[in-house]
Amino acid sequence: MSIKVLKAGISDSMQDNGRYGFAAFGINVAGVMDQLAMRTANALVNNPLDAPVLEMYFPAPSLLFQQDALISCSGADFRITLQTNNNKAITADINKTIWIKAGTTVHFNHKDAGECCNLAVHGGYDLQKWMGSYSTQFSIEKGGFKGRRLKRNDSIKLNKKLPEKFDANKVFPWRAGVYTWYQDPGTLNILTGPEWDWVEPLSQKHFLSTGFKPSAQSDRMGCRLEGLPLSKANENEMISSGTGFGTIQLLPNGQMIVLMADHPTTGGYPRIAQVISAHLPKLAQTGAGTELRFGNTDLQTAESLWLLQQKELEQLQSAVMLQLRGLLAEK
Amino acid sequence: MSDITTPTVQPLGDAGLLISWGNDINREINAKVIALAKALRDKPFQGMKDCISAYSSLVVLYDLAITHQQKGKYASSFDWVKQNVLKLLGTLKNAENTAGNIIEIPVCYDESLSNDLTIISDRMELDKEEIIGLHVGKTYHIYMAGFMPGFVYMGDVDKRIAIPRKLRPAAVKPGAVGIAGVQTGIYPSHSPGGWHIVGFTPVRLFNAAAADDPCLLHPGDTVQFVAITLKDYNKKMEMKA
Repeated sequence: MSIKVLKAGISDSMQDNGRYGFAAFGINVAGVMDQLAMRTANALVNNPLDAPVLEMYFPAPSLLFQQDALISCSGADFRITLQTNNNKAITADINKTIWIKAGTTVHFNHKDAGECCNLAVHGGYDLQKWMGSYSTQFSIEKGGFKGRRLKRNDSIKLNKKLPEKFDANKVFPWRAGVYTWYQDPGTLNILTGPEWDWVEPLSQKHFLSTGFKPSAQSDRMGCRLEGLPLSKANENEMISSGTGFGTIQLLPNGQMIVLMADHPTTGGYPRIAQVISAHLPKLAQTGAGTELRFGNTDLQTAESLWLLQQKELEQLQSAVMLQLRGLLAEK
Repeated sequence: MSDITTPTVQPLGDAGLLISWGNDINREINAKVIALAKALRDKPFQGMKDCISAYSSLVVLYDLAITHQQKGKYASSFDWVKQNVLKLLGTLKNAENTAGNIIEIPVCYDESLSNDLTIISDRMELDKEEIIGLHVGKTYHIYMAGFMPGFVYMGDVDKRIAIPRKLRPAAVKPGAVGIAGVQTGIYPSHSPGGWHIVGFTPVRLFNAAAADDPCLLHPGDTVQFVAITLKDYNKKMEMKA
């Protein structure tokens, strides 16, 4: 038994924490756009925090559950709608633990907030690892589910069969309090990058004081920003060097791109700044046209903020584990 | 400009470290980068996730959750990682000349396969035979991997055929051998590409099924292109299919 895709979404792919350790082969990291959402969704269903999740954009898929499953969605809110046979459809919130009865179709009816939603299933999806990761590598069609986005009629097997516990869908009362990390969506803290000095002083000031908007051309590879063009302080041509998730590159036309999950390992544009890790989830959920402002912070603050985020996730994980212990017992 | 003895070390965000020997393409510096990357892969510090070696720099990515546990007296994870990387670099002071493999790559330069030969010919004011002669006329050092799985940056291309990138990237097929300035490289899979294409190789550069080492070419290796006829190329392509 499995989950059947009745209708595919615009970009549904299996992703985990990413594929590290193979930069020497030119293999990029990939992985989820919003790690906080992945970890939250996994914590809510008692999975390891970095287990693979189904990452969905809007329009999202319609999924028929052919077996009972314990699921949760985190990140974007696409208005989860549960439809079982002839019963009235019910909606459920993100950041909740939900018991899905076999025969239920899960729809996502409306894009209420955010850009990408991660769906975790207790026990995980039955996928093959490729080069140490379950993440989908689109360019060479490896990893994830058959190396590609989901299509209509795909059947995704689940690793675990649940004990018979409930007769109907059930939304559990607890809720993950991750929303604080998405508050103030327009403000992203950065650390200046290796080529910060290549930016002309007035442009440095503009970068830190004016707004920039993600364009509709943004994708899993990069968030393209539109705003006042920035100037370089020199004529230097940069030779290619390593980049990371969150690196802000200055393009020749004065516009910027923030590298996201599918970015290549190296790049030849000046790395003027880097979005701090704790604010990347916020950026991943920011849609085209929302104004972003960059604020300077320091390394120790950035490290502490990310560690705090992880600590909260571990607390959530322990709390959920206590709640679900009896429920998931085999007998 | 670049100083081979004293690199600069700085953060790349809050979970990355950049160690750089300037902004030049230089064989001696590149050998140092490749040696340090190898040493880091052989002896990774606790929490190291990956290292990305490039022409004259190396980016080390790490897991803050682990480095934070390790950092002890250091003010930040970065400071602890920096100390680890520099200590390892110190042990490489007299790094032996790590000569890589020499790999022959057959290339078909037949103009029926690529329109770009005409563009290069016009721009660089050379006839096609001269372009091909200059491209196969020397061996190339592999400086770095990047851009896409199996892609490597090689150099240095003879200045007379060092044509800059295209203004607009075009769709490129697997096996396409391109030039961008003094760099040359081969596209392992379908991709948009900004490099001018001089020929095609029937050789497979990336084999996803070979999980321990899916790549034919690695940083530090040397490549010799060998011209083959269209007939040979077609025959080899049929055998591959």
